[in-house]
Order: sequence, then structure tokens, then C-alpha cells
Amino acid sequence: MSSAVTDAPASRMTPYRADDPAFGRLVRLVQAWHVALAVGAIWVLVNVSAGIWELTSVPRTAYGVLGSLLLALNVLAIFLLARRSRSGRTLSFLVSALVALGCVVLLFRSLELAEGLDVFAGAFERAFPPLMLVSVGVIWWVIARRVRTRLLPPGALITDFNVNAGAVRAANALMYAGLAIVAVGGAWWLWELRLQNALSFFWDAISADPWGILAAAGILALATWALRTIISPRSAQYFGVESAQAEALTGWLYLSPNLLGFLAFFAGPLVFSLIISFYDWDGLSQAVFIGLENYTKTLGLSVAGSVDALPAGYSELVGLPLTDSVLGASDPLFWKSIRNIFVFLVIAVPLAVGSALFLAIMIQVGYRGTKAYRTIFFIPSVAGVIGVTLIWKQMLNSTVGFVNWAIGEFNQFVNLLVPGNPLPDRVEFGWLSDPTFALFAVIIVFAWSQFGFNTVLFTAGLQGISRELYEAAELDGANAWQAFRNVTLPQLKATTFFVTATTVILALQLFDIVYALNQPNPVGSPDNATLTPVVYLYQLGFQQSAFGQASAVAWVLFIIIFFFTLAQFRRQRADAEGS
Amino acid sequence: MRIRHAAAGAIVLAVALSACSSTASSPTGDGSPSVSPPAETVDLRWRTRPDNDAEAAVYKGISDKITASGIGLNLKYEAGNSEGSPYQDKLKTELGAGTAPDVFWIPGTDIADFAKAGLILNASDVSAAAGFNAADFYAGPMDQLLVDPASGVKADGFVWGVPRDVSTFALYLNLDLIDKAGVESPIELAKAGKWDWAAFEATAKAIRNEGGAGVKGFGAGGWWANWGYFVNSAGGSFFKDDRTACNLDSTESINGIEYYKGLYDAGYGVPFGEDPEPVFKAGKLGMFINGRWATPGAREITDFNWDVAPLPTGAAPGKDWQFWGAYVINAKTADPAAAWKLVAELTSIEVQNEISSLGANIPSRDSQEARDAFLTYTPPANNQAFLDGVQNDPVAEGPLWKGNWPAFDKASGDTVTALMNGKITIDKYKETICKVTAPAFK
Repeated sequence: MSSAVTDAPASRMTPYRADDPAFGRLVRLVQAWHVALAVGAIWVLVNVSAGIWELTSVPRTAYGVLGSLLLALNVLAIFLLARRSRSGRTLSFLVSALVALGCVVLLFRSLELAEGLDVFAGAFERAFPPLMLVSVGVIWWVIARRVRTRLLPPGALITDFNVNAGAVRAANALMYAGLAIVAVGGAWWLWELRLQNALSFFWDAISADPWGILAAAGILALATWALRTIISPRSAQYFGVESAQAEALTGWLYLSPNLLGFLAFFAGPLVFSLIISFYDWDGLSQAVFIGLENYTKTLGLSVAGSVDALPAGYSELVGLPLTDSVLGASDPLFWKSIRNIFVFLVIAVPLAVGSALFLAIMIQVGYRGTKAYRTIFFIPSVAGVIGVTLIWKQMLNSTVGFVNWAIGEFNQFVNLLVPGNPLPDRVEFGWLSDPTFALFAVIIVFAWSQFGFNTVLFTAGLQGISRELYEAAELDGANAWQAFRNVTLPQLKATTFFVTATTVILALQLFDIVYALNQPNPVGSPDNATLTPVVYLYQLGFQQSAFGQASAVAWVLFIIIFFFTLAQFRRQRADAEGS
Repeated sequence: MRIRHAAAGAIVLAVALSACSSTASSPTGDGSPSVSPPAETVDLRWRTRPDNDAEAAVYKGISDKITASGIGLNLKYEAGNSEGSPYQDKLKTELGAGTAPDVFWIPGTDIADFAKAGLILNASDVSAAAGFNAADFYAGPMDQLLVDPASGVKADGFVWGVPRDVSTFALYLNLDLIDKAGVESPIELAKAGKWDWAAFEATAKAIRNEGGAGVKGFGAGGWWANWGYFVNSAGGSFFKDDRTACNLDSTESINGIEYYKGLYDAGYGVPFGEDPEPVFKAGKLGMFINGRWATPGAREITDFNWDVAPLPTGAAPGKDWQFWGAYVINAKTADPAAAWKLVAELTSIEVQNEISSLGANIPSRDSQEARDAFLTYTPPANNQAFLDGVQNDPVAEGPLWKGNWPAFDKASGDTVTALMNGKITIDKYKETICKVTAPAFK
């Protein structure tokens, strides 16, 4: 087979397919497996469409879509397998893998193994002493074995080595003692893990739903068999799969845990939130389809001659300059959050990026203690956001906080130098309580938490700039500023783009800092001065149980982030093409 | 390869056995010998929101004791987050997914939303069968737990839960600062019946003026109950009597909020919205309005002498808040009678006293025995201030059976904050406060 493949003049030739009647029969069994799955899908669809299963609208739609998809994929797999198509092999693999995963999830839930993950740490703690005993036994056994090996030359029998026979027997005894310790430790470990309850537990779980568990286990076994059959080397030969394609399938198999995790925990909820954004849903009761109402309620704007002339349900957002008109909104808080986040972006991003660039250049210059400073600068990036924010909260307290104290000390110093004591000795800026300062406090904490990581990125970027460019600039008579302006900055464009884009995205998703700084007051306070879109959707979803509108806000935010990033990409591409 | 397989097998075995040990064994979790429960034992999960780790440990111990008492309950206790919001977020998510515990605690303001959504069980039948007497508990919270969701008023045939505990506001005092200010102690003024708004303002002013640099007369949180006390104490209220409309624009309510704003405008207080707790603990705050839940934190103070006094009396005597939360039963519990048995155990006088001795809450049982025991849980020396708050014509925090409390809280809170920060005048406040909260009653 390999020669046939290597001798092929071009990759577009008809693939070689091994003649393997025995495997052909196995493939027909795999087809039968897909027929059974298709019948199962039909059974689901019948139950859903005939209303035998009493489902609310969203689950009914989900079951309907899943059943239809399963039916279509299996019918296609049967057809393609019959044609010995490589696509059929891949499709069969995919369907069987998904079915196997579904069975594992069902069994995991039915046997309540998920609960085991929750208490695993506790059980491990309880079982730690016996595990230590097992470790001691293993070490004991290894040492005794090494001693025995040294006493006994390779190939020698105990009886041949009369001088050390007693010592060898003693070493043997020590080895057995080590194994005995392992056995005792193991038994103790199983006892601590409540082995005595395991059998009754599993029996109870199986008794609760014996046919369900049996069916799931049986289908899992069949799916595993189908998977093994379809991915075997014989299968590759039978379907004429080239080695690169076989490896690709294996690669996908290795990727599948991550991919499935992505689909289940990221893409799935993403799609779900998109669906929910068209519903009125409190998260608990039945969802009601309302079309685009959540979006119109969120984004609705209207201009009127006066506040009273605004449509019902609209509130004044802002007075329009140079006119007597007012701009009203159906959801002023959403627009307030948008305003806040753009003010935040305009100040916080340059601060987080500019300070990082400055520090990276300082590090690059190589002053004494650079390595220590580099480590110190990076600390904010590895510190927990909530923890450091709580420290900042203490520091920003208007009455006993360090920041106001430091400003007061600075003022006193200035007053020593300037006659007339122009500055107050003590200030009480309400960093957290005054709407004028509150957003700025969030900006400070955000910029502080971001600049360390950005500094590392800029440092890496600076290290990638060739020294020859600086030497050439120096020969051309450039001073330090000109070298920075004309060499460093252009060479750092890619890094700057990456740093700016990631910082902008993080800024648009701002939540945790606001949440922690506001405690114990309502999140977004004071006077909604720190209300950001994510904070607002949190309020809507979890505090007011308006999950539909919260999802709509999330998607509006997604679109904003998408276009921001797209614009940055285009700008970067245009720059790259220009240069 | 064999070693890898053996290690993987061991981990799978450990997880499986952990699952078994967590469910089928005594939930002591420390490997101690368990008492074999009776054959008809019912497995139940329950959860509450402890105020701190020490309280969580006590709840765990109580859970184990109930299991070991052989009354047919095999309990698994789950400590919720100590902060408010994450506890609710997780609980609501689990309720949505159908994995919430059999019995759980929720704040009093959430009872209506949970009951109306059909998430909690109307335990009227099982409680009647068990001989439950609602009069054993303070009427304020209990009345809110006996409401017919359809009419929004108390009615026979409805029991949505039992109050876990109650709490109320008091003034935490820095006695050293009060001495330094040269004013009479609020505790003595209260005993003499002279602790009113005027005395409060004068004391706050004296502390600020005489306390030294940065010292504040009083401090309070920015959330609804703080400004709400002054509204109630002036004779006003959040809602009309039938709780179906806003009453924050009544003359009395406006008097209360105007007085409260005046205290801040005069500079007597820690700025509105600022967390006063660090200021109090730093010894820079004379009087700090807070609930019983702040007592464990106050007990850590060693730098100055402290005690508590009742809140100052306004035009309407009493009117302190009666905060509460309740144990409720999951509507999907498999065994409502067993769940009620657990609720009854958790709200017994012994359990309430054990929890209250930690300092964070007050027993919800309206009994002299419980009050006598509470007075011994010192410091503070003047525990009577809390009992005065609970007993002296309090205003029980309560859900909106005919409205949406979170929406009301958000709208009213934003408007009060705007008033306090000078963004709107008191006239504008009066004009708008009930308009902005009106959607909460639709």
C-alpha cells in the first residue's frame, strides 16, 4: 500500500483502497450501528413532535434540532460508508465520538460521579496519611530491591552465592515487608475513601434507574467499538486514507476534549444567549418569544422638542446642544454604561499601554536593578484581581485611605516651598463615593493591573529590534528621541497593536474591579458613575432576573468589541501594507 | 505505560469512591465514626449563607448533630458564599438547573419572587401536620411568610418558610471619641429618653469638631436600609400600606430624607456611599450605623473602647429595621415532610442560640428565653440596644408580593444617591422618586 501511495504522481489521483472483505463486513456492522442511531433520532423526533414528551418551548426546539441533526448525520454516514468514502469514515468517527461522549455524561450524572469531583479534595485530605504509607512502602521496596541486586550478581542463584545467602534472604524479606506496607497502606486508603459504602452506593444508583444506566453503558460500549473499528489501520487501508489524513483524524481525536469543552462551555452558552436575547425570560420560568423587543428596548433613542414630548417609556438622556430638543432613550442606563465605558477606554487604555511602553524602555536601557524592577512590575499581573482591588479600596478610602494621605503630605511639602500655604494640608477626595472621581478610581486600578503584563510584551518587542537599526540611525546623526520616534516606534507596531487590542477588549469587558470596589454598595455606584455594559448586564440578569435583555446587552457589547477589533486589525494591515 | 494506567485507574477509583463517601456516609468529613442512621433515613441537602468561616463551621456541626440524633435525617450541609450576591447567583442557577438543595436560606426580600415563580414549597400542610405555631416567631417576618401570592396579603393555607434569625440596626460607638468630644453617651441619653435626632446631630457635630483631624461624627452604608431608617423614623415609609405603590414622596418620607441629607451636607458624616467600616476600625468614626452582623468584626477591635446604642428616635418612635432571612423548602424536594422536619430543627431555640452566640445574629423566636440568652452574648455590653430595635415597633424588611423589589431598590437607590451627591434638589427628588419606582409595581 505504501508503495502505491508513494508511486502516485499527484495527490489528486484516485486513492488506493485495500481489498479486505472481512473488514467490509465490519463496516456493514458499523452501518447497522448508524441505522440504530438514526432510528433513535426518529424516536426522539416523534416524541417531540407528537407532544408525548411535555417540553417547554426552548427545550422542545433544542431536542428537535438535535434529533434532526442526529438523523441527518447518521443517514449521511450510512450512505457515505457504503460508497467507501473517506468523508464517511470521518463522519462516522464524529458521530460515534459524540454519542460516546453523551453516554459518558449520562453515566457520570446517573452514577453521581460529578459529586465525587466536588469532594475529591476532601477525600484526598482524609486519605493522605495512608497514601504516605503507600509511598513509604514503595520506597522501602525499591531500596530493598537495589540492595538485593547488589548482593546478587546478574544471573546468579541464591544457592550459588553461599556467602551472602543469608543477606539475600534478608533483602528478600525486606522487599516483602515493603510490599506488605504498600498493601496495608492501600487497604487503609480504600477504607478512608469509604470503599465499604461504594458497593451499596453504586447499587442504589443502579437500582434507581437500572434500564437507563444499562442502556447508556451498552450504547457506550457499541460507540467505543465503532470508534475503534473506524479509526483502525485496517479502516484507513479500506477507505484509502493517506497517512496525512489518518494523522489529521488522530489529531482531531486528541483535540476533541478541548474542542468539546469549547463547544459545551463557550460556544454553546454563546449561542444560547443569542437565542435567549429574543425571549422574555427570568431564568426560571418559561421563556416567551418577543422577537427584537429586548434590542429595541435597549437601543431605543428618540429626539423630541421637550422631555414631555418624548414617547412613553422614554427618559431624557441628554439635551441636544444648540437646540431646545432633548435626546431620550428607552433604556438610559444602557447608554450611561456605554458613555462610561468609552470615557474609560479613552483614559485607561493609553495609560495602561503608555506606562507599559515607558517602563519597557527603561528596562531596555538597562539601569541598575533592572531585573528586580521587571519582576516587581510583573507582580500586578499575577496577583488576584479581587484581592488587589480590595487593597486599592482601602487605599482609596476618602477618610483613612493612603492615597488622600499621600496627597495631603505632598501638599504640605509644596506649602513649605511656596509661601501662603496655597494647598490644603488634608484632602478627602471621595474616590469611591463621589461620582466625579469614581470612574477615575476604576481607571487607576485597571491601568495598574494591566501595565505589568503589557510591559513584558513591550520588553519582548524591544528585544526583537535589531541593534543595527539603531547603529544606522546613530550614523545618520539621530538623537535619542529621533531614534525612538523613527526606529523604536515603527518596529514596535505589531507589539503595540497586540497590546492595544487586548487591553481594549479587556477594558470593554470591565466588571470585576467595579464589583469589588463598590462593595458593600450596589455595583455600579455611586450614581451609576461606574456602570459599565458588563456590570449592567449583570444587574439585569442576576439582580433583576431579566436574562433576555441581559443577553441582548451582551450581544450589543459583542458587536461593539467586534467592530473595535476589526477596525484595529484593518488599521494595522493598512500600516503594514503602507510600510 | 502500566504505571500510567495504574495511576489513571487509581484517580478514577478515588473520584468514584469520593462520590460514594460523600453521599452514603456520615457527612462529618473528618473520618470520625458515624452514627448509623435508622433504616428509613432520608438524605437531604441544605444550604445557608454564613457570615464568616466560624459560623459555617458551627452550621456544619449542627448538621452533623442532627444527622447523629437519629431522627431519620441524613444531612449534607453546603456553606454558601458569605457575600450576598454570589450566594443568590449560584442558588438561582441551581434552581434553574434543578440541582438546588432541598432546604435553603434566602433573604426576606426574595421570598415573594421565589414563591411566585413556584421555586419554593408552600409548606402549609406539612407544617400543620408537624404542629407548627407561627406565633413562636416575631410577627414582622412571619407575616410575610404566610402570604397568598395571588392576593399579596396574609392568608390561611400558606407557609413559605421559617425565619432563620433576625437582625436590626444599632449605633456602634467609639466611646473614646465620645468622651473626647465631651458629650453625654448616647447609651445614657437613650436610657433617659433623650436620644433623638437633635441629640444625634449634636453628638455627631461635637465628635467631628473635637475628635481631631479626619475624625467623623457618624457613618452609614449607602444601601437602602440606611437612608430608609430616617424615612421610617420620620413617620414615612417606602410603600403605601397595601405595599402596591411607592410612598417615598409623602411629606413624612421627604422630611426624613431631607434631614439625612442635611447631616451629610453639614460634613458630620463619612461621605455618602463611602464604606465607613474601615474608618470606624481605624478609630476615626464616632458613631457607625450597622447591623448585628458587624459585631464579630467589632469584637476584633482592641485600640479603643466600643459599645452600641439604639438608633436616635425621630417623629415616629421605634421604626428600626427588622432584617431577616428564612429557611425555605425547594419545591422539587422528594420528601416535603422530612424537609420540614429539618427546617423545624434548624429553627429550634437551641440551634438559634448556638448560632447567635457567635455574635452575628439575633434569634428569630419571639421568646423571653431566647432574649435572655442573647443578652449574655457579649461584647457589646449593651446588647439590649439590638433587642430594643427588634421589639420596639420595628419595620420588617419584606418582599414585594405585588411588585419587583430589585427594580424598586435600583430605581430608588439611584435617585437617593443623586440627591445625596447634589445632582438633584429635594424638590426634584420629591417630584421624581415615585415616578421612577412606578415600573417596579407593574
